Amino acid sequence: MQLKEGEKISIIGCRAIAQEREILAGHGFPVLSAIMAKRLYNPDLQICFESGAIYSNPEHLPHSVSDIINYRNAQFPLDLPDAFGLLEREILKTVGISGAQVDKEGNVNSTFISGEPTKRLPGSGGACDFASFGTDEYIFMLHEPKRLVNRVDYITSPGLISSPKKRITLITNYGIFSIGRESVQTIALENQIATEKVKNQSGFNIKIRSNVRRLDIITEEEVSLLRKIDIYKISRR
Amino acid sequence: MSKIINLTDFAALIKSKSKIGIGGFDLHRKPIELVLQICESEAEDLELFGISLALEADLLIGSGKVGRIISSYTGLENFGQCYFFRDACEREEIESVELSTYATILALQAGALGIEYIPSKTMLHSDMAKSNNLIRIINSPFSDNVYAAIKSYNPDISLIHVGEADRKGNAYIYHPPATKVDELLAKASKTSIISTEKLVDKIENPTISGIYISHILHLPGGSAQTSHYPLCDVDSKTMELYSKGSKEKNLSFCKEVIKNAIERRRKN
Repeated sequence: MQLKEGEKISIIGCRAIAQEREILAGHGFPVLSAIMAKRLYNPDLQICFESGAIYSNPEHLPHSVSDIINYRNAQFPLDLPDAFGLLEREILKTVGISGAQVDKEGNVNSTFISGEPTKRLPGSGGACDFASFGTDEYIFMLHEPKRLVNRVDYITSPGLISSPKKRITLITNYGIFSIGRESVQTIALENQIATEKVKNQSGFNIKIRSNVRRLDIITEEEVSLLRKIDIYKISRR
Repeated sequence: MSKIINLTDFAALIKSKSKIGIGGFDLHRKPIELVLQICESEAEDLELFGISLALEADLLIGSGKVGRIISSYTGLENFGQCYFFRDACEREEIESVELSTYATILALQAGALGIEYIPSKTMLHSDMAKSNNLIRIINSPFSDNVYAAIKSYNPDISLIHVGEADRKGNAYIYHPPATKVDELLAKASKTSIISTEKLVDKIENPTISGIYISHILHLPGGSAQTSHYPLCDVDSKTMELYSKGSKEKNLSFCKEVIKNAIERRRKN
């Protein structure tokens, strides 16, 4: 089955998130993975949005953070200040974000890319808040050297520095990784990917055990659901 | 004195260098028709403030009206980027100050309460807090905790599109998101102006009290092509057209796209 790299991230992320009770999902891959996880593996997963749609169950990928489909099935249709208040009070603890770069300390950049000229991106929205308050954070990133960098050009969303207790899980199209104070460890790798490629395509050192766990082969059911809910085809770009 | 004004009266209220607060959130309930009017006015060097900005900010920047922008995000989400914004930032034609979404809300909260700042742990370790005049790192007077002090923000003029309003300015917003945020925006602003889908005799339970509203414009469809729930969703096709126009830096095309979207929504 020919898959785009964004599709692999979404499916790998879905399997990782499925173990959670709830997640405040940032727009893009985190939302896609969360919707899939709830449908396929954990119907009790509670999906929350920064717009204030809490314990939601959107039928497909929203067009934006403000999409009404986030509210249609929400048990608690609140507003933006409520969602962030729940985070700062640590009533919501698990978050999912994405961005343009991530580094070995879990810092994420969504704002500037250095160069001539410096590239200005749209900005981070609530991602900095997610990263500042979340104690269990999933970061979604394409596995490329320009994205997995030793040091991000600009810290939009802080990593381990925001809390020594924070658990950071990096989801890429190559696997699932844990970002810790001492090192970045591999939790599991995509079924087919060569370990050398995982290392070569990263700007920081990733530790991989010789007996590293391999993820199950992506199923037709997962791909079928993903393509059905990703109506904006963001995972196929 | 009646609070109801027309678009010509409105344009005269917008002075150069004003701090303009934009209501709504992301691609939802943006005061697009009011913004179009500012694009045609003589005002310039405006400071824009919004929780999450989109095509309305892009249009004003493309029209050369903006000197500074304060927001957590300026883009079109799944529909693409705001290229007038992006290019103006990259060429340093405008100053861009990025806050987190929550920080923008807390800045308005402080502004609404009339206090100097609100402490939070957001942005504390972000580069966004560096060289940012709206953020200071402070020690708690009660504990060893460190906080980001988020400075209050008080727009000179805020622009908010609502579902219903009465002649006293009491306004009703049908559906979140941004119901509470727009209430904060109105409370924090020196002058708040609403455009409304419907003018009604009396709003019993206003989302925003008329005491905070200075002027009202009856502009059905005035938030097109953004969503206005539950009345209408984002006009996706028009959003794609706008995105294309922004990428090609074709300002007149972008304005035409929006004017047509407002017309269509008004007829419906």
